[in-house]
Amino acid sequence: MKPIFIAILVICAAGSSYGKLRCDVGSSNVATEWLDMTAGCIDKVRHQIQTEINASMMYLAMAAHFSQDTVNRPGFAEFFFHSASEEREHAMKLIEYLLMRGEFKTSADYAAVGELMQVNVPVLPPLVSGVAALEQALKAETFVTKSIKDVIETCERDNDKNDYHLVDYLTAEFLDEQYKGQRDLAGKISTLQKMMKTESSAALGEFLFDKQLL
Amino acid sequence: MKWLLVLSSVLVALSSAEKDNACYSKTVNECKFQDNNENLNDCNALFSGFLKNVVELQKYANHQVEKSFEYLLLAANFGTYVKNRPGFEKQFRALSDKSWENGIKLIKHITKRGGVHDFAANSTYKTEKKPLLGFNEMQSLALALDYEKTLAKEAHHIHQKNAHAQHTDYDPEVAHFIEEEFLEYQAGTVRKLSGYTNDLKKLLKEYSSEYSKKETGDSTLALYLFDEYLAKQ
Repeated sequence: MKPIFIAILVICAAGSSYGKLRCDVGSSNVATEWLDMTAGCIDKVRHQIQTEINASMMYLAMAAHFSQDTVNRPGFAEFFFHSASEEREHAMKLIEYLLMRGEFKTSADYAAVGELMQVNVPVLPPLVSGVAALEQALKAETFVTKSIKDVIETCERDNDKNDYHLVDYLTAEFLDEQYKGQRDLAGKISTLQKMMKTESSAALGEFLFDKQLL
Repeated sequence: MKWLLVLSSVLVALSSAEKDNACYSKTVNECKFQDNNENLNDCNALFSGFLKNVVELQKYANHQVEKSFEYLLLAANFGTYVKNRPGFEKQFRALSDKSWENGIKLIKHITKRGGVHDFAANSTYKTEKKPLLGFNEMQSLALALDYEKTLAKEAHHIHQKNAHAQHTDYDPEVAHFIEEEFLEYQAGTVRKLSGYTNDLKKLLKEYSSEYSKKETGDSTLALYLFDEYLAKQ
């Protein structure tokens, strides 16, 4: 029986070896006149991707800090885990935008974006309290806002061209969220600071505020 | 009398970091003598063999986060107008989301058990970064299959380290967590990706003339249809 089985296997193998895999189907040939983003502007958008990823990792580190048993601030932890995922989504939105505008097609484009998607080890200042963390978050958001405004300014006049659509998109989608987020953080800091005004109310203030965040 | 109590509590603390009544005895002392002690480390969540293997979980969490961004790039590769394969894009994006979610899940579990996450812990299972652009459909699926297997193997490794009977590092809770949250799902993903890869291999096979007497150059159509199929999965 065994030799027959082997013979069948050999025949099958020989039969299938006729088929060659053709994995590359070649490329298409699409006109490129419709691509109208300028190099300087594209570069800025790409760098913004890395800025968002860095912010995401920073929030992840803050969330990990507040999750610790000896810190035990589940509300803050959830808040920052959520922020980390949000920043990751911003990075994805920017990539999707470049894809939509067709400015993400050659290996060079790809390599440039790939290089700007580094997962860096987040370095945090020691977070002594919830207020300190919220202040750190507000600082980071202010930096991101400034960075987005910088992208807008470049794309408004790079190479004497105004990229109306990108500028509008960043203003309506990104800046809107930034300012609302900053207002939210500022409000939280204000409330928490007031709750922790005195030495004796500090512990209870942070405890109660944390539960509110859940 | 007080110094005797303090001395004995220090000795107790030194004798075992994981003494069964470390938190209680320390706290009793602190309440009794109103010690100004900011150190809460005795009342931690650590127990069993967790701390021995926490570094494996840290490495795994970081590996998952890194993979999530690699998958994101792979998804973008198929979102270009040149490649334009929304089905493939969707699949790789789903892998990215899952890895991100897993990273967070692992960090949460590390802290649940009293650990601290170390973002610098580097997994030995990490594969070198590939130049993903120019990767065609077949290559990308094959790569994703290998990636998922690597991640699954790392989970098995963590499980083995924690669940091995008679082991001093024994921690069935971590083993259970890995089983519950990773193993079964990963087996499914690996199977799904290997299925896709084999399907696509069959579809992309072109037969030479001596076999079919005809060129059957329909790889392009096969890829289009397979992408449509993936978009619905």
